[in-house]
Amino acid sequence: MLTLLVCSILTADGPSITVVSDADDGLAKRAAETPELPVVLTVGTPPRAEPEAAQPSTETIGLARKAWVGADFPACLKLLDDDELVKRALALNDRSTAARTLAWRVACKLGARQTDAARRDGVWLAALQLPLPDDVGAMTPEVETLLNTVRREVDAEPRVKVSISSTVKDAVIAIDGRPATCIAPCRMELARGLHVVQVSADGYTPTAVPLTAAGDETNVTVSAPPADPSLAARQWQLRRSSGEPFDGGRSMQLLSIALRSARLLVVGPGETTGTLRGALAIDGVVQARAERDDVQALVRDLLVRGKVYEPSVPLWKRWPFWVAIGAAAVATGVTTAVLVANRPITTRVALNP
Amino acid sequence: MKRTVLSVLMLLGACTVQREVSLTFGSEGEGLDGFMCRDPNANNQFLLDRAKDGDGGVKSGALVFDFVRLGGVPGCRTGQLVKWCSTHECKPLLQTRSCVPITLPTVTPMIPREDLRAAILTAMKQAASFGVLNDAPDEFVIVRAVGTLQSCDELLPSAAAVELPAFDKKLLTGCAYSCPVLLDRVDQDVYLGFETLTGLCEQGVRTCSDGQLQWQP
Repeated sequence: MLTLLVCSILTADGPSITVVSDADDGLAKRAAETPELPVVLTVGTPPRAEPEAAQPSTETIGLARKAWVGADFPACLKLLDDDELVKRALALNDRSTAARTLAWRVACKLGARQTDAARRDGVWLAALQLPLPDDVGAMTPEVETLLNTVRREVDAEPRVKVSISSTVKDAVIAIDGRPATCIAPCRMELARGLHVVQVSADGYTPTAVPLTAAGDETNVTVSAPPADPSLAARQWQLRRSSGEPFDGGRSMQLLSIALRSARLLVVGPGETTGTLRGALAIDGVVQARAERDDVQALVRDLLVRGKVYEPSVPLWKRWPFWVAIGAAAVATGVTTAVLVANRPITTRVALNP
Repeated sequence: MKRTVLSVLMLLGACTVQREVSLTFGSEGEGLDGFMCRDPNANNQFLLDRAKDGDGGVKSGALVFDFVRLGGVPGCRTGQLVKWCSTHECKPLLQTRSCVPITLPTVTPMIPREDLRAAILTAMKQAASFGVLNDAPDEFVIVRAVGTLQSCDELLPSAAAVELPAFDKKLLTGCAYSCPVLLDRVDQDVYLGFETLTGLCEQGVRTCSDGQLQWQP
């Protein structure tokens, strides 16, 4: 058992580090072949992000419109009378679809003689500050009149002060489908009623929550779950395509999540021709950056500066060596002194009268 | 490297200091007073005269050397030594006794003391360079030289002996002893002498030659 344990300790590999180069696979391979390192270097492939899910089609609105034209208002309402349709469109920053959905709901409810319910939807559309869609021109004048009337009423009402904070650092807040309204924490004034607050940040899954603005002031704290690797890959690709350097802090963090790598080393071309640049991130946080001519020297440099390992110090530069030498010298001196001091004496006694 | 260090240590360990210490009665025989004693119970005869046989001849005797363990370091004066040995065990070491045959001079009753001293010293020189002991004890001892008419064969212990043969007090011819000394450390010759204020010192010779250095009445 002990032998197995000793063997496993002696043959144990060091920590595993993923090496990535999104510019040159050969560069990553050469980096991973750096000899005599107490770590395992594995070449990683930069993620190819899957296309984002297609936004919901406007087919539902088309069907509802057809039902309204055929005076089949129950069918129309069945298709549109779900608030989630509006919220989902707003979460996707699709204000046009949200506006069209609400406008057709107003039209169908007026056709079904549900005046109060139609008015409530009209108030929500106004509170969200959604523009009146072109579809209104195809509806009855009664619908347009209602929508204009409630908009004026909503505009005349006092606004509610809203404070938004987030558990996510530097979270970007979008209100009612208007992207990048502010960076949390922030304050704004909103019309009374139901709103949709969306929070997004690199490394996190965008999250939308409903907010009811009521009274004089409303506070809300929004959180977001960490991004999964595929989302992180999309976010990383977005950053790279927007020109962020491959060794940027955010980029490294996203790439670590996308590759599921706690220790990530990226290499790529340097600022000047013939040089190479790289960075080392541990748990998504950049620990070291360096620039060298040779990729394997660059890797060593990053691992040392990132404190992944320490280069071995010559024996004579280690203090225990000199302590041992000193102790040996003292021991030798003491032993010699003891031996010399305690040398046996043989005294011959002779008569010499 | 390891072997060299070991060799040096072994050499150091094996290196024994060889010394030699001489026993002397003084350049003029000052320490020989114990061999010039007279016996008040025998018409004040010199003890040396015990060697005379009836035919006018002289019997040969022996000079016996003992190393007496003291169990401490008492003073050097006779009184101090006797007092010390009355409460401590003062015993000659069994394996350290040595003996050399010697013929001491017989004398006329009126011989001047200095002539007698010179004659005894001359006789003692018969035993010059006698190897008293090859390895002195590693402790404080007194060295004692006893003159006797007994033979060395009588006085040297056998291999199985547990005690030293005692001297025949009637055959003693003289005695001398040293101060307590650690022979491995002494840097001078060791002087053997005998303290007496009078020539009638046969009692002192008996005390000096006693097996336990006890006072002899």
